[in-house]
Amino acid sequence: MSFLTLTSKQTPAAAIDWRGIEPGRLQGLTLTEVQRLEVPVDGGVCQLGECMRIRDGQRDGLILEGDFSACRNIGGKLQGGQLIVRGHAGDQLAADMRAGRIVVEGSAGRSAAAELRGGEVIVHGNVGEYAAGAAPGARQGMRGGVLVIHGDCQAWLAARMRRGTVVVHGSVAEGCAARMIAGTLVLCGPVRGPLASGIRRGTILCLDPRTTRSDAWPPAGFTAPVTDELSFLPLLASSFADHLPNWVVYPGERRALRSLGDRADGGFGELIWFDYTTGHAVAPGMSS
Amino acid sequence: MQINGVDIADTFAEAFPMTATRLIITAADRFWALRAAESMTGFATSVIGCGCEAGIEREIPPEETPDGRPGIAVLVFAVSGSALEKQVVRRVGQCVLTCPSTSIFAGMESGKKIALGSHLRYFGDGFQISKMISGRRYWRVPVMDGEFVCEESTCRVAAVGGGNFLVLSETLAGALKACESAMHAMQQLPRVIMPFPGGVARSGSKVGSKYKSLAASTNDAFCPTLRSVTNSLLPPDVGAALEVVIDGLTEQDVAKAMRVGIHAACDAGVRYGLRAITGGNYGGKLGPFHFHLHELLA
Repeated sequence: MSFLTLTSKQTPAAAIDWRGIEPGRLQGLTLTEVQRLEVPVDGGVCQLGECMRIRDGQRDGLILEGDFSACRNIGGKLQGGQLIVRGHAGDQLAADMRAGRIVVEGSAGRSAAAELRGGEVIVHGNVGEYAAGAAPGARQGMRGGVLVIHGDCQAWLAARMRRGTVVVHGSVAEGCAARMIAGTLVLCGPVRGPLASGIRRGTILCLDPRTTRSDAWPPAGFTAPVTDELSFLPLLASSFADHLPNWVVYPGERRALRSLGDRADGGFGELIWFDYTTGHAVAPGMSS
Repeated sequence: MQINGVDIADTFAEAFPMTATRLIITAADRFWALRAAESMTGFATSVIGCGCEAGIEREIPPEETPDGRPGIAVLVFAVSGSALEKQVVRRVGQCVLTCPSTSIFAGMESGKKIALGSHLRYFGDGFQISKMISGRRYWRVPVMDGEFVCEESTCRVAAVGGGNFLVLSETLAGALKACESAMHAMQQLPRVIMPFPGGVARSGSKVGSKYKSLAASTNDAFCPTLRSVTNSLLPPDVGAALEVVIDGLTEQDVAKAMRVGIHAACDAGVRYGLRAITGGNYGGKLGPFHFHLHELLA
């Protein structure tokens, strides 16, 4: 038996605020009670059954089918179980999520996992601005858990990120890791500067040779690269190795190039990368 | 009761409650991991004078360690949680942090927490880096060969210390052979350590002393040179007695180690004049764990 499935009656789906609609809350409800759940829509309130076709299923998971790019807070306050979005998700995906797993088969809007505290969020498509980052006015970004983005990221990824792990397969736009506080960022694709401006602590692992071989590397404010013996690297790699794209061959070495910054702000964040001169596999379309 | 012609005394060995933790030391290769483990577990034969009892539990292959390097599991036993924490932090700080290429990780995931990296991180003088991985915090302390990686804390569990048996032989050479054989067999077992040099103590003690300041003193009943002046428990043809001491994570672990050790001693020792096996029985004054030899070996 599949999970409880909600299919949008219109495309794109109405601008629903999904905060709190998660498997844990639906656990003890009958199908009728689920249909009668009230959700904020377009400044008003409507019952879930009015805007969604609902197919009953196991309650430890929830499937959303359709284009939810106008919806907010999908997976908000998720405490466990699975949430699968068969389509796009809107802004503030996984806000205040504590545990469980979210898979978005399309793209996600702004501030994806920006308030994530635990669990795992996987976005197969792209994400908008402020993914894992602090939205304007917020003190901190992501505070725990794992965010994996198979596509590209728009600006301010992991800005003021506090804790957790972010893995990006695609490209990363400007402002990535700006004023990052801590956490781990694994960048497999090309990165547009400025990167890690004002970073305080945290680890950024850059696995894209196009970026690390460029003249602008390491970014301004970082120390000259030094090859270090980091016995910690394999342990760190164990936290994201399962999320790397198959075209990245992680070297698995303890020796890596390392640069510290942003020294202009007295920061002690670290950029780590490998010397790819020996022909490690890299992103499609690029020769090593 | 006899095993291979060796008399097994109808008595029990006494042991007492302790608290214990397991630590996993890794290094660039087995040589350095072993050096750190040996150093850390040195001078840890008895809580009476060393503050803790410690020993190497087993070697761990790289594929089973947290950082994929050769590892050594050590067990540390103490009489209280605070004493254990104090000893662990001191010993790791002086013997593992100092040893080239090493890292140290918690080897127990359940039980009460005691500090590890949370104290040692200050050696980093502000340059230390913390990382949370899968809910566990690690500290990376910069040192002259790179980084010392240390888990934030480890856990301790209730344990059993002082399990023992005495090997009574015609000669010292025979007693040593029997003990060596017992040790070889017992070292294959997980969850136990034998904290004395080579796992064996020759200075078995009794509770109390004629000197008021001493809580324990030589076990004159088993000293062959005092046979004629004390109430000796040595059979007439026995010229040497040695005590094998075992600390284990549970009563069952200690019992199993005693069983394996006694059988191994009897198998080998009979060729070298092993006469009897007995237990360190202090009339129930030492501790609540009583290992009855006949029941153990039945």
